[in-house]
Amino acid sequence: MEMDEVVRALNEQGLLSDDEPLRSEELRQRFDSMVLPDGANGIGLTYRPMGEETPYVILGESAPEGTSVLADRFPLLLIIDGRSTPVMLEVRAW
Amino acid sequence: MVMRRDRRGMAVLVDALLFLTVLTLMGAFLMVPENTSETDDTGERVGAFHEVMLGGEVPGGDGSALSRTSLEDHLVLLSQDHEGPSSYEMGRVEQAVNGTLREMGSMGWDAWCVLIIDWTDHVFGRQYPGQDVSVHADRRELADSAVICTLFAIV
Repeated sequence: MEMDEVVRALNEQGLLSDDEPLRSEELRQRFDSMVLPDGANGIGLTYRPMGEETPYVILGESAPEGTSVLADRFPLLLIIDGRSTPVMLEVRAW
Repeated sequence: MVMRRDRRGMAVLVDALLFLTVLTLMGAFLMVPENTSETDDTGERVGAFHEVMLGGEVPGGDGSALSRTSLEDHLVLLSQDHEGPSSYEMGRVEQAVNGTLREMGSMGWDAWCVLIIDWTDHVFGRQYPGQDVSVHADRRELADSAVICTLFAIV
């Protein structure tokens, strides 16, 4: 499994976008119906406001101990309370 | 006598060929860009941060629809104000930019943003003074170049 495949899956399923803001209230539903990319056993996503540590939304669970985890983070726009807000998405896949 | 002269001529020829081969190999080695994929990827990442920063809504304002604009639209509006942007408006811009700079800083990057509105520079973040490192930059020109916004990063 490569991070590129994970990113492609997240883009296809509306959990990450390069070009248009995503609606925050739709994230959980999209995550619940997400199809994992080939070779992935689990995925965890954390959305937090840009430059801040406190998460806005956490989706999924932590990786089991001893598992090799792929991790990266990506900037995107999320509509929160009607405002287009810069956020960071932290991705962990195992 | 003739044989000796031929041998010396051959030796000179071989030396010259060896020299040219070494020179060619060194030239090729020097011309290969170091770590190209990482450099390209960093440029793309700086561009992605810049895109999101400009697309985000400017914090604050009076709550009216007009005050709720993306940073990009806000900068264009500021450039059309003949008296120049007020310190209040520049404070809002600073708030909009700082989250991105903090985030890039948390990744171990030195990042700053230079905004030129009507030929006046506004610098956000700590501008790196040296010239001995590679700096990645993403530059956007808005409103017929009345606004130029450049995001810099040293990785």
